Amino acid sequence: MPQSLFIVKRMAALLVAACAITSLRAQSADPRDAPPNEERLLNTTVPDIPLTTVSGARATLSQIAHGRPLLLAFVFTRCSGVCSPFLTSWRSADRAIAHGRYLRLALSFDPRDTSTDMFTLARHHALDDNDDWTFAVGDPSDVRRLADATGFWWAWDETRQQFDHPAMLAGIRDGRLVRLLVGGSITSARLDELVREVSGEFVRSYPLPGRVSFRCVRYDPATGRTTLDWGFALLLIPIAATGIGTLVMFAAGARVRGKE
Amino acid sequence: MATVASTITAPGADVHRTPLIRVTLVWVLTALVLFPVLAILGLLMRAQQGGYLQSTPPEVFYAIMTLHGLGMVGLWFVAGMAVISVLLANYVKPTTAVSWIAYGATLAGVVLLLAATLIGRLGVGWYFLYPLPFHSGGTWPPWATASLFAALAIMGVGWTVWSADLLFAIARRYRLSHALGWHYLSGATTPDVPPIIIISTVSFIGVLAGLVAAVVILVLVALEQFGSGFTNDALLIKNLTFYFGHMVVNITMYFGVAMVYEVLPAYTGRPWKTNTLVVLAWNLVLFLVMFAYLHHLYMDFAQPRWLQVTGQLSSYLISVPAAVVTIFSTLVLIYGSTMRWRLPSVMLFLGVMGWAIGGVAAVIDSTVAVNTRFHNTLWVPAHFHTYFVMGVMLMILGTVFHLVTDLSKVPERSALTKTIVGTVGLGGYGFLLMFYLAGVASVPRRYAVYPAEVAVGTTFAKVSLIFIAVLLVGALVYIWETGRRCLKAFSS
Repeated sequence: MPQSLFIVKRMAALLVAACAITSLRAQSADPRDAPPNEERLLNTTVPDIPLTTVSGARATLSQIAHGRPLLLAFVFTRCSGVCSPFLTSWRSADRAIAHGRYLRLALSFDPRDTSTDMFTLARHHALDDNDDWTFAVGDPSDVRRLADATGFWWAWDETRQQFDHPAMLAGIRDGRLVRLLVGGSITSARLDELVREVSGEFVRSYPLPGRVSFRCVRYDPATGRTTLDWGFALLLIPIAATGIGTLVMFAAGARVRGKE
Repeated sequence: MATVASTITAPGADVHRTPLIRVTLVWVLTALVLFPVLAILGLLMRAQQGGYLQSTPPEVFYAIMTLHGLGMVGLWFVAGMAVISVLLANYVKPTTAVSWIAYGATLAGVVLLLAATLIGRLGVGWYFLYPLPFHSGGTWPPWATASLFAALAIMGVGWTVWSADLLFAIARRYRLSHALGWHYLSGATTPDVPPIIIISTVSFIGVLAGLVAAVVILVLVALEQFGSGFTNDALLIKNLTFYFGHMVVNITMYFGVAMVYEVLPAYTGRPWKTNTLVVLAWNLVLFLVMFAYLHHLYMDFAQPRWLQVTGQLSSYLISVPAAVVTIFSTLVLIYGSTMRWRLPSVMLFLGVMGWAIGGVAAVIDSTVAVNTRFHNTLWVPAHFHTYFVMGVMLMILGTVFHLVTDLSKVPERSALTKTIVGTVGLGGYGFLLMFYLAGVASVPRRYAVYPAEVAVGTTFAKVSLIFIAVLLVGALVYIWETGRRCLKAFSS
């Protein structure tokens, strides 16, 4: 087999393998393996569903928010997993946030939960007489619509007799989804960013430490300062490589001229 | 019929040029076939924005936009390379086989791109900005992304070898200091280095730097896709992508300018000699072109402020040596000369003026304070279509007509010249005006269908269809006239 044909065949095989691997990687993804996809949901209109608060009052989402930005969390009272630690973490981080800046809404997605159950949950976290916090239930179909609009999901786990679900905060302003904060533990810095963003401020996004290689710049959210990182050196490769290559090429050209 | 100035050897006179002319004619014929097809894709996009083709899903619009953008950028780059190589052959000896290799690589890349966009509906835009190709949301399959990167890799290798061969051809005859004209700065006038050598040396160094940036992108993306736990920095990839993309587009324009320097003297009857100003201008371009791309990242808040300042300064300063020197030199060359206004000379002249108009629009947009308003509006496609369609495209097509008329000995017809210039001028600037007006009205770019807030964009798109049709008529007449000369030259 001629050398050139062999190389072409090897390259074609490599290309096919690359396509196949890429396809397999895409197919193996389970939506529940990944957190809710914020990119696809941002600026989505959130349905203004009716809710029943722990006091028994009926009001829509917008009526409860009353023009304020809103942070929404889905929980259920029989949760033996993340719900309670999540609410504790939220409440703890929330202490640094000024009173009245935004509305905190904990909404049950479990059809078995009643407003009495949610009141018990609120009292457990000492939030039953806090005006900033609202605990509520809703019609299952309405709650499902709201969950779909914010990327929240749940699935019944027969073995544990529990719902499997993510822990997340959805930031809503003027009836539209502004940002998601996903994870069972909420730090005060992340919550502060979320509240600022949901209040209409521009908040910089930045990669989590250790997740991205060859970063151009490093951003410190505490100070707001940006400094160059090692990845920036990669930007110099084209100039350096071409500079050296040009010098080598003209040196070789001079040698050819010399021979001629 | 056009004859060539004293500084230019008549095409076909040199034995080693004949096979190179043959492959160049193949490049030209291919470009003449692809150009109207890609232009019609643009027409379809404006038709959809104008409220027609309602049943066409938006993802088809984005796939067409990707093919139109990548296709046009690639088409005029390779057309520029091919024409420059044959003009350079007056002074140096490029390798014909390398041009054929680049042609094969380009064809293979085109096939992969067609599959990715028309079958796979890949809709990433011409700059395939990371990480979009890997987050299709189900709109295009993973193989389409793989196909795009394979196409870029194959074409990148072909173009790198081609550029390196042309630069090496210059290196075999000139020292680097002579190829860049540095001896003119110390008052020496020998050896006599024509402007095309200096501009080509600057351009090929720039192209190679851009292609190296593309290699870095491909390596990083491959590492992420086939590595474990490796995630790329989107800002780094964006810097590299625009370093590559801006460089390729910028250098394509410089190819066109080099053609003006080389061919226009044949019609003015005056030689266009290298002087200190030309040398200074193009050496400054070589330095500034490395940083001008930064104006694409004004909206990236994480980019350090000093890089943003560098971007604005480079974008402003680069317009002086490249554009202003060339534009004024062109006017000086023509003023008071016995100018023969034939199709090539008219196209070259209009190309320089189109470059000036598009350049002014680009400089306006490269001002940070203005960019915050114009970014991602139709002002952006307005300016780059101006210096591409009414700038470099006219320069390349004018030079091609000059070459094939000389080779085929088919005389130019005055009526057809007027038809081509009239329709291309009217259609081109009319179509561009609709882009500019829409940009001023804050109509966003890359929208398949305009929402109610910017519904005025629909009207501009509708009107532009008339002008695009006029432009296409002119283009088709040109293609017919050039194509038959090309075929005659090829057969002889």
